[in-house]
Amino acid sequence: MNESAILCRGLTKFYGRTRGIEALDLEVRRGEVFGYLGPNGAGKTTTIRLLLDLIRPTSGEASILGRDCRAESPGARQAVGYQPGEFNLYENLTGAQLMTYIASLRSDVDTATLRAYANRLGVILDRPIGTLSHGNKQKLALLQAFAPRPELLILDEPTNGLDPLVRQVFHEMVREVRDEGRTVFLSSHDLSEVEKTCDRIATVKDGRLVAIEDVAELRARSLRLVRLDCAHEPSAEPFAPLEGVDRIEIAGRSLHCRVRGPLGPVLNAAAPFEVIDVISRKPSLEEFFLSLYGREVADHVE
Amino acid sequence: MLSSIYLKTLRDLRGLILAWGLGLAAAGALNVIFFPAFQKLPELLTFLKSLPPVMKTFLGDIDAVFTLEGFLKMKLFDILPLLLSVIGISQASRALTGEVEDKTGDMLLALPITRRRVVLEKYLALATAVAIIAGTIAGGLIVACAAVGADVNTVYLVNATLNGLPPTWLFIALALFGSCALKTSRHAAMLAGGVVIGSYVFETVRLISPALAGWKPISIFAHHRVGVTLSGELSWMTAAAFVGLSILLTALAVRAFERRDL
Ligand SMILES: Nc1ncnc2c1ncn2[C@@H]1O[C@H](COP(=O)(O)OP(=O)(O)O)[C@@H](O)[C@H]1O
Ligand SMILES: [Mg+2]
Repeated sequence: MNESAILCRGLTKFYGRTRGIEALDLEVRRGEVFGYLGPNGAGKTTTIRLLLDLIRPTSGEASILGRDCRAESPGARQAVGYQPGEFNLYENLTGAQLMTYIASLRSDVDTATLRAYANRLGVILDRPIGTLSHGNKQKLALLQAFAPRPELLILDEPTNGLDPLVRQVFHEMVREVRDEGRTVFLSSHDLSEVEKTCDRIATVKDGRLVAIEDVAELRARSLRLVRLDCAHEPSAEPFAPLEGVDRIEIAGRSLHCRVRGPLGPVLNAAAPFEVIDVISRKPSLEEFFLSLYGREVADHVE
Repeated sequence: MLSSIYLKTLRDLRGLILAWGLGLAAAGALNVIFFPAFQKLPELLTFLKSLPPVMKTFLGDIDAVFTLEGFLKMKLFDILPLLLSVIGISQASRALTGEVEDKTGDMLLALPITRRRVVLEKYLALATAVAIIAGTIAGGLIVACAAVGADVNTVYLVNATLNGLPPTWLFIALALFGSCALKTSRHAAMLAGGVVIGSYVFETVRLISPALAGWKPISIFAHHRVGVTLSGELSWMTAAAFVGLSILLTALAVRAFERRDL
């Protein structure tokens, strides 16, 4: 069972002339928690609905757990739990009735697991779904995705409308799934959210993949924003040749730059200008991704 | 009642089945109960006999109206196929597009089940629902006849009621096809509703205009009009033809639904 959890090759979906997603190449490995990050309208839901064979690609192909989403439907979805992004549940059923219905259509829902998850999430099972708040409906949607203990969970903006305590429970549940070697693919427009749970993050914007990053690696790369306040007005020349240093700017007696790796060489190069103060900080992942989206990140430490 | 799509669909229709089944059964029973009073109105016969020939053709055998069978035919059986069809298509046109419009379809169709299964189970549930309604009406008539001690052919009552089913099943299949192939359930309802009303109007015009007499084979409602003297046989051949056409349309519905984006 070495095949990828999700594999997309040139996956493209146009709605008429509107681009949903274009030429998406993506691999989600088994056993990882993969974040699919992008602003509203980026193409996240489109991608997910293509994977579930709810909509059909304009071109390209995708497979889940080694089976083609189109040609091997519905078998490809056998071991998949899905929480839709924008959804309604049958309002005239109670939560318990909904779960009975779903359990009758997929044979892998086990009552004990279902109860355990329902308790943890605080799902209201005995009232008609139509009378529940948005957050409580969201919990039911999560319950039906997790309860079958699927090999692959595909969650479209799962924490939308959840209160902070339930969010925490959700993060725990995701971690447990990963610890069992199962896979989670979740979409979000909120970086701080995916940063907490994901091993890798793909970012999409306007229907195109922007970058795929390993969260741990991103952190380890220890990119710093540095400001040196000097007694004499510094010049850029001694810094330019240094490895891992870029975006050098001079503003009066201050020098701003970005440094990847140790600070020592920078300080040595700055010695002739008589450094008075050094301020250095790591940008948040959020700033990092903002830069991927082409928006200017504060290059300066203020 | 939630162990399959078929049963869940029937469960969702239970209020409708109950309301129409009992409502029409009660209406039928009232006709049976009040028939003796109607029978004693000689002015009515005089009135009916004085109608212009066109109207007479339309009403059929006027003397027969003074038998319970003929009375029920005029009051109930002649419009039953139309009524059942309208009830059926009002639900069938929502069957699949409705799940998309209500945004419940994503969760259902992302389950490891085929779209074919969803369409077929929904069709069977809708076909069953109208059959239960028709059955309830037949039951109501039989009970009412027994209660007032009416001298009536029970087989005729049952067959005249169930006779409405084959065209209804066909129209349900058509509405379901619309629900699978068209963008909104409103479009599906318009398609099937248009065909039902058109067929009914066509049959009505055909009955009163001799020029159209030869068009009977293509007039859907013509095949399931009951004669007053009908002793009991259903027209099995045409029933089989309608069922065959329904299967064909349902197969087309499956194909359309399998190919579409949700
Ligand atoms: N059914 C649809 N018909 C037409 N355009 C659509 C449809 N669904 C999505 N889109 C468009 O495709 C783009 C991507 O949408 P979506 O995948 O929903 O983004 P996200 O989930 O990232 O917010 C948007 O421009 C959206 O307007
Ligand atoms: Mg979305």
